[in-house]
Parts: sequence; C-alpha cells; structure tokens
Amino acid sequence: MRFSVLMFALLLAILTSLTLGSAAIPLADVFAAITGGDVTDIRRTIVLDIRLPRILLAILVGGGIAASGAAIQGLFRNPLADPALIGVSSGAALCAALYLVLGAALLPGLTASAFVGGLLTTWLVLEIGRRGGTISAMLLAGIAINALAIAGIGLLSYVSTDVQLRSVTFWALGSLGGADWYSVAVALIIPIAILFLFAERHKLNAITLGDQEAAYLGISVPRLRIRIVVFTALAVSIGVALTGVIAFIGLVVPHLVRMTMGSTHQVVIPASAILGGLLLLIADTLSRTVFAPAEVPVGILTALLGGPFFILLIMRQKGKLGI
Amino acid sequence: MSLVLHSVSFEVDGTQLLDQVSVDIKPACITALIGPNGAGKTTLLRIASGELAAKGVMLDDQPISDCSLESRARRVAFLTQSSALDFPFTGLEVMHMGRIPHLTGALHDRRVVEEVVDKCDLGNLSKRIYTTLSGGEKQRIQIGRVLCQVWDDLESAYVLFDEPTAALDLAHQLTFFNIIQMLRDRGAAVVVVLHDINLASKFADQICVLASGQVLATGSPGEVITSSNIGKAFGVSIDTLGSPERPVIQVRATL
Repeated sequence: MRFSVLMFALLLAILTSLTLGSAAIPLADVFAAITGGDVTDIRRTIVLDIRLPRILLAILVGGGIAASGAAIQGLFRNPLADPALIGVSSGAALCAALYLVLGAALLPGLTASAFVGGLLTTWLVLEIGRRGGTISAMLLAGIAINALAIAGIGLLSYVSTDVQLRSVTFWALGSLGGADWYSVAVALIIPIAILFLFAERHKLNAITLGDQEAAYLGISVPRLRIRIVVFTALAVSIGVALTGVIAFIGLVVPHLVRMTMGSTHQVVIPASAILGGLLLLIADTLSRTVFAPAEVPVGILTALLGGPFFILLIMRQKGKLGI
Repeated sequence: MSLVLHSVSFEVDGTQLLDQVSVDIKPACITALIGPNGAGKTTLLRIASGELAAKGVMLDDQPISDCSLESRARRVAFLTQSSALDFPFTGLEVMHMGRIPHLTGALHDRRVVEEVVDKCDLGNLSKRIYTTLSGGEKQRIQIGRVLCQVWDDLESAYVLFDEPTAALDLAHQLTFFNIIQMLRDRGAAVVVVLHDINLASKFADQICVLASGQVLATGSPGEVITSSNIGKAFGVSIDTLGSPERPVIQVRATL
C-alpha cells in the first residue's frame, strides 16, 4: 500500500459519498454543484451544505482519531491502546456532557470542555499506569476511567432535561449528523494537532524501545509524554465535541497501516490519518445510506465492525500481552 | 578525555547499592565488569551513563549531570539487558533509531547504518521484521543500533553493554568481541558486564570485580583473576591455568 493508493481511494470515496444518500445525485450534477454549473437549487444545497461538510468532517475527525491512536500506541508501547479504550474519548464526552447540562450549549465552550476532559483522563491514565509500573497497568487504568466516565455520563442523563438528554445520548453514540461548515471550521484544528504529532515521529520510534532506551537516545521521556498527551487529547476531544465518541477507528487503522506499510511513525502517523479519514467516511456513508432515510449513528457501526477485529487482535497476540 | 567514577555511592530506599565505587573508564580500553548477581554492575552502568544521578561521575572533568541529555546521547551509548520493543519494525529501522540524537541528515545516517550493517554482518537480519527474530538475533540488531549511535566519533565515545552475550551463540559471542575490539582500536571506551570470567580475561584490557556494591579489585586480567579475588567475590574455589597475563579459571568441584 502506498500513499498514492490511499489518496486515490480517499478521492474515490469522497466522490461516491457525494452521489449517495436518501436522494441519489448523479456525478455530473455533483460536479456542476461544486463548480457552480447548472443544477437545481435543492441538489446544490444537498451537495454543498449537507454532504460536503459532512464528508470533510468525517475525514478530519477520523484522521485525528486514527493518528492519535497511532501515537498513543507508540507512547504506551502497546498495539492495543486506543483513544476510546483508554478513556480519552469518554473523558472528553463526560466533560462535554457536563458543560451541556450545567452550562450553555455554546460550541467553543463545548469544545474546550471536551479538550479539558480528554487531557485530564489521558493524564490520569498515564499517571496511574506509571505508579502501577507496567503498560498493562495503564491499559487497565484506562478501562477503569472509561467506566467511571460512562457512569458519569449516565448520572448526568438523569439530571438533564429532555432536550439535553438527546444531546448527551448523542455523545455516547457518535454521529456525524450534526455536520455543517461551522463544525468543519472548528475541526481544522485537528490537522494542526496531527502535524504536531508527526513532528514527534522519531521520538515515538525511540520510545517503542523502552523509556530507559529512549532516554539514552537523548529524549526527555516525561516531556515527550506531556506533548503527546496534549496533542492527542486535542485531536480526539475536538472530534468528540463535534461528533461524539467513535470507537475502534483509533485501534484498527494504525494496525492496518503497520501490517501493510511498516512500523516507523514517519509512515504510521500520516498514513493512519488518511486511512482513518477514509474509513470513517466509508462508515458514515454506510450509516446514512443502508437504512435510508433513517440513520444509524456511525459510532455503533464502527463498534460493530471494530469489536470483532479487536477480538481477533487479542487472540493473535498469543501470550504477548503480558497482563 | 575520560569518564571517571570517583568514590560513588548510591542507595535506594535505604539499601546501599554502590558503596564508594571508583572506576576509571578509559578511552581505547575494554573494561569488563564482573561480579555475582546483585553486586551492582547494572547500577554502576546506569550511573556511569548519567541516567541515575550520583555525585562523583565526571565526564571530561565535568559532572556528567551538567551535560544535556542530547549531547550525552551523542557520546554515551548503552545497551540494556532487554528491550521492550514489540512493534514490527524491520531490523534496519531499529538500527536507524540509533541516529535519533544526531542531526546529521538522512544521507549520512543511511551511510552510517550501512557501514555498521556491513561491519557486524547484519545484512540478512536487517531486512527481517524485528519481532520475528530470535532472542540472539534481536540482540545482534540492538548491538548494531548502539553502534550506529556513536559511530561518527568513536574516539570520544563511551559504549556500555549490559550482559550483551547472554543470548548469543558461541560464534556470535566471538563476533561481538571482535566488534568491541574494533571499537577499542578506533579509540572508543567500552564497558561490558560479563558473567563468563574466561571471556572477560581473554578480551578485556581492564577488569573490575564488584561484590556487594564495592570494588574488590581493578586491574589487568592477570592482576585481577586470582583464586583469592574470585573466591571472595563469588564464594567459589577456582584454580587459574594458562598464561599469567590472561589466566583461565577452572572451578573446583565443591564450594
């Protein structure tokens, strides 16, 4: 697999996704809508204001989750880490829900709350894991914090009004249904966070050798840890604020990349970003077309597909997990 | 140019791991550290590398703690007993990690790695996936990585190996010693923790015997490998055979 193949597949998926939906729009009209050609107003609106922002949001959010998954797996030295599994996503969702129920539903405040939530939970997981002494301790801490965050969201749903409840449930499931150009604009922070992660590619390679070995290679591991945590929390939390919790993309995608393109983070980070965007776009397109005009939240779909894949991975580890 | 441990003591939670240890790690010299389990050999290496902070460690007459992490990494390389690496990198990619502290450009890095691959006969292993290699093969790649880290400037380099030969077969043990002799001949200071006293005697220029956190003896193999020293350190009775400069030990049947 090469980057050119990935980019081509992404382009193909974008075009296909633009034509598909409860109203099928031929490719010629899609082009006409984008280039300002001759097309009915309703089709122009569907393509430009409904499908295009949703597609871009899917690519940005999926890319952010997958690139963060790749970085977190490197940092945790464990190929089974995932932003949703270790509680980053649910921590972000909890703080987003807190803000929704207790504060005003203003998007920048919401995004900031999600970011703080993501940051706090990742930090907690790392800190507990460090005291536990092993990587497994970190993963287990993640599971515990994940459960706590989900319980917190559950509690909030009891004290929330009906309108708030709908939004809170939305965060737990994950959906791109709310996409508009404003959310795409907010999501543009995600590629910046991915760039920052990419800048740490060599250090991420070194840390897979072990913390001690990384230090012998001149890397200040505690500082690297902080940077990775901040950048991944940023990429994931913005995704969560805009679309809710989308599981398994961050786990599955870096794996597919490592299996086909190699393990250096020079490749894994950017390729995960593209493939993550591609997969979330495909999943979202499926979620809005299979039962059209009804829509399945895309988080359910990624969990349905990712769950079995995860089980397969665990079985293939053959005692290497060390838990 | 020197790395000197002057009367270094180190304790963790009230346990004295090193007690007034003095070792002079000289350039162009192979120093072997021997001693029973728990004698403090690994701790000594970790202190010499600057990872564990202790008073009395001087790199070129300056406390090693004054050196930045990056500049230290360009001069001091350390191969630990085991690495956690569990991602399917190729051998070559693992060796490239040794170039991380350097800002010498991709072209130069590639040339360094190629030279090390060539010198250490890693051509085949370097193309394979690290996680599929055997323990000894992994170790050979890791040795290669450590060499890549200091290859440009061996004259000012300190290369520390913690039990590097434990997983290696006989032929590759010999290859390893040929490699560190080459490092020494090019001016590097090599420190190697060994369990095989005969290998230490055969290849080291200086041997340091550690027991219970103290230096029992330091000197040439002929000076250090005596039945009295080995008896005190390991509690084992031995006879020395062979040349007086590089004696061979034979263990007596009973303690």
